[in-house]
Amino acid sequence: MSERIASLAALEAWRTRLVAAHDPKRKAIAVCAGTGCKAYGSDQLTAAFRKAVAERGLDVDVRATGCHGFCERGPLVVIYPSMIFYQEVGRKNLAKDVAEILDQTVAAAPGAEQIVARLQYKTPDGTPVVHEHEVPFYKHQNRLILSFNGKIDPDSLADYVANGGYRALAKALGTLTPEQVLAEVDASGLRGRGGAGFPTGRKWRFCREAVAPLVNGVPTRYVVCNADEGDPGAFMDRSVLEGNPHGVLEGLLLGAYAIGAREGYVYVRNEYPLAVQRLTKAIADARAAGLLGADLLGTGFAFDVHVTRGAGAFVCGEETALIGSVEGNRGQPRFRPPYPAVSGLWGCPTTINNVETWVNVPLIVDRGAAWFAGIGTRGSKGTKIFSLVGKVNHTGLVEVPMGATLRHIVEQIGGGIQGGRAFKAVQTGGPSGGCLPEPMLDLEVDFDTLTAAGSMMGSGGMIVMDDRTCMVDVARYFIDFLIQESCGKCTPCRDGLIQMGHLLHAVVEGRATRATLDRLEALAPVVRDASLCALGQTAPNPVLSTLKYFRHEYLAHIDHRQCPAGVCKALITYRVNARCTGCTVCAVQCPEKVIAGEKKGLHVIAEDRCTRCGVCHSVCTFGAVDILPGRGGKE
Amino acid sequence: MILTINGRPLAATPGETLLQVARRAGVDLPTLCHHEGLEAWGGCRLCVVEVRRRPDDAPKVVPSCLQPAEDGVRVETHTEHLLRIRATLLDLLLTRAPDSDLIRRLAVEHGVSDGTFEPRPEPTSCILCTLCTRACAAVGAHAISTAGRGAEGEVSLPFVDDADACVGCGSCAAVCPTGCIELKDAGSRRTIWGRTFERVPCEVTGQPTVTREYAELLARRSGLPVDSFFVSDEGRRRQTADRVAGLVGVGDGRVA
Repeated sequence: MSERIASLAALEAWRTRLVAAHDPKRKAIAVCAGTGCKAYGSDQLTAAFRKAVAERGLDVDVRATGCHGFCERGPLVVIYPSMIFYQEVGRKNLAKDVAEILDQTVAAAPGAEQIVARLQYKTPDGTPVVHEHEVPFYKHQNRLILSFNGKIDPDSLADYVANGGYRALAKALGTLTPEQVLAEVDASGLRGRGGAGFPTGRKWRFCREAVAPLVNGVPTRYVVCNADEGDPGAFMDRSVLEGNPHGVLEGLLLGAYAIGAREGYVYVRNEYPLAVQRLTKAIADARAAGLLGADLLGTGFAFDVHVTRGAGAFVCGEETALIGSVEGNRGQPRFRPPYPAVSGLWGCPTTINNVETWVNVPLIVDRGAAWFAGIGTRGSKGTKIFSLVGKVNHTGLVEVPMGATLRHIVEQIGGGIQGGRAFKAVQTGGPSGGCLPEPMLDLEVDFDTLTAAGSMMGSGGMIVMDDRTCMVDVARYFIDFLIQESCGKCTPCRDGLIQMGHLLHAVVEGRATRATLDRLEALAPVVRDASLCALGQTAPNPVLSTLKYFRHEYLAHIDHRQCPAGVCKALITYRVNARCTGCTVCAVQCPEKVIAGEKKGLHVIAEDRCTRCGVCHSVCTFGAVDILPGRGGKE
Repeated sequence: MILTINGRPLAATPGETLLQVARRAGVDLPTLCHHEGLEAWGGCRLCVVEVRRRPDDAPKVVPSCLQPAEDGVRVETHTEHLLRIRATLLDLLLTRAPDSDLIRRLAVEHGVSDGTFEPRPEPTSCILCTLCTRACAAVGAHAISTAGRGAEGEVSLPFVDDADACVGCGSCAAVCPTGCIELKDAGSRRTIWGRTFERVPCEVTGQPTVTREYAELLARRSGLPVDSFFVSDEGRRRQTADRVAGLVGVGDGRVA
């Protein structure tokens, strides 16, 4: 449909036609075209499916969809309508995989499909799984938002509409006043998914009730979508924007209607080229269809959206810095008040929410606040998307109701720790979050419990660590990241973080004393309490939370000059044990040539000249190279 | 409206900041990035105070230079926690800029005699308070800005050495609290930011006045003729005296 949709009735008529034209029994091959699967070559896979389907003359719809979430096993393929799930398709033999899937699964009648066993998912105990919803990674999720991702072609407005898209907008424009939309969002209990968890309805109300200055004679307010997701390892907003751009636009439209804005901005980082591309296409399609622009759907309501690309500063995810950046200024936070809801973009009242918050709004308006408020905990409603990464068996994007336990996420969905090793900690909330230990695994995750535990929800990063992770080194890593990303405006964050970095480097490099720890513990609260914006205020979290839960590891580094996890190079020793077969691989591979030994004889590392690069440990196939905590070989 | 600072009730008017109220009441709060003539910045954090709306609230640490005065708030300016924050910040700043007399004096006042943290590889006197860049923007020249991020940030010309927009007014050097912006006046020649300007002689006294570039900028912004800025303070006094003398008919209209 390229012509304008002239009215609410015309939108519903189009939807009815689309749904009627869709044969639910028709076979479809959904190939994930999220960034992870694309990196594995899913574009070539889609093309190969299309070509092979044409050659065979099959009536099959081949569609590239948004991210399915199980990125680790990409490229992912789901065969509709039976929902047969294939993983790692085309990684090794693209032509063979495509041919076998088509001939054995797709060409067969429903119910008579044969399964290509070698492309099936198998549980850790080896049991093959046929259907997507039976894969434990998906089975234990509640995918309200992400369900769109696997289903629709993100470049197709028709697909979104056929799946109920813009129905909430039609409902709002046709039957609800702006105040009623606002009341609905308020009653749903939705809280901002960007990190702080501020109640969305209350934020919108501040904006709606703020005095709007006249721009060209019109009272002006703005809505802004924050898509400057910058946490290392986090890609929730990226996947939503790439997989369901119209969902975000519909959220912005509803927000604009509720607060009285005519213009909106999506601030998306330039490192997300696919998100920019799909969003730009979605905006162009929505404009052409009359879903954006003047007099949209013939209701008199006007709204349009612009895309602003960010240049990769983490701090621009902070709302006041983001607003500065959109205005063309240096991306630097400023003090609040005034809050953006009162004085934001170009001094006008501005509602700024992140991608995940906006994409929840159409669901709330469509299905009602009571439905949404029925999901989650007392203080945190709905679902939350986490990017589950680190040392779990199954990494990827997971969506669970608020209140799901960390254990549920790590063990059921994540499938436990890789290689059967021991869980040590889970880091939530991005670089400024905290590390929670094993006893906290039964914590029911929501905004308030995580904060009370000394971590935070953040935007939903979740990094799982095993017993080979050094918690001091983790704290050092995050502080180093934040030093790089501090904008430099305020003294504690600019000059304090760099000193926290020096102190942490002293610990991991074996130069620290108890006084180092005292200094760290004195400096951290100053940075936390005196910094200007949330970046600095939360930056000490990784240090404070590891000091709280893993203090013994700091003390091992300081008192015993040992890194118990075997990570910190200055505080470990590599030594060959009796399992050595004398294969000579380590000696050959050692870049320093400090491993001596005869063929078939026990090898020995010259520990005084060893640089602890770890090559010997990783090339040894006999487990004959030990990493001992401490220098000088004390075991 | 009425608020209390350190338990003392004080009247404040809407729009005032806590720093203004405190200073008016004689409460001493140190600042490094604040200047009455420029937009408040909230960067140095030395002026932080603790604020509570209700007596049983947990105190919130906010910069007084930006926090608006509100009716009924309770403000503390010198709690143990705040003194520790200020001492730590001054320790950090003294470590950063060990040669600055002002920072050292403030630090000593807060019980810090030497920077105790790890020094920078290359010492600097700049504390990134941005008074200079804000003054430059207020003048209307926009010749300098902060470049880079974090502790490695610095005040810089565009592309490091493009001084085209500089008008040689010297405002940046005048407001710099640590004296780290080099301005050299030798006779009528002024050198700043690697560029040399000529200060136009006063048409009355012959003393150097402002640069032609600055006068042109002021003329553009004010609508006054360029030449009107080429009068020194002394020259302006004499002109006024002459005019007054002329009006009352004393002597030949010239003042000796």
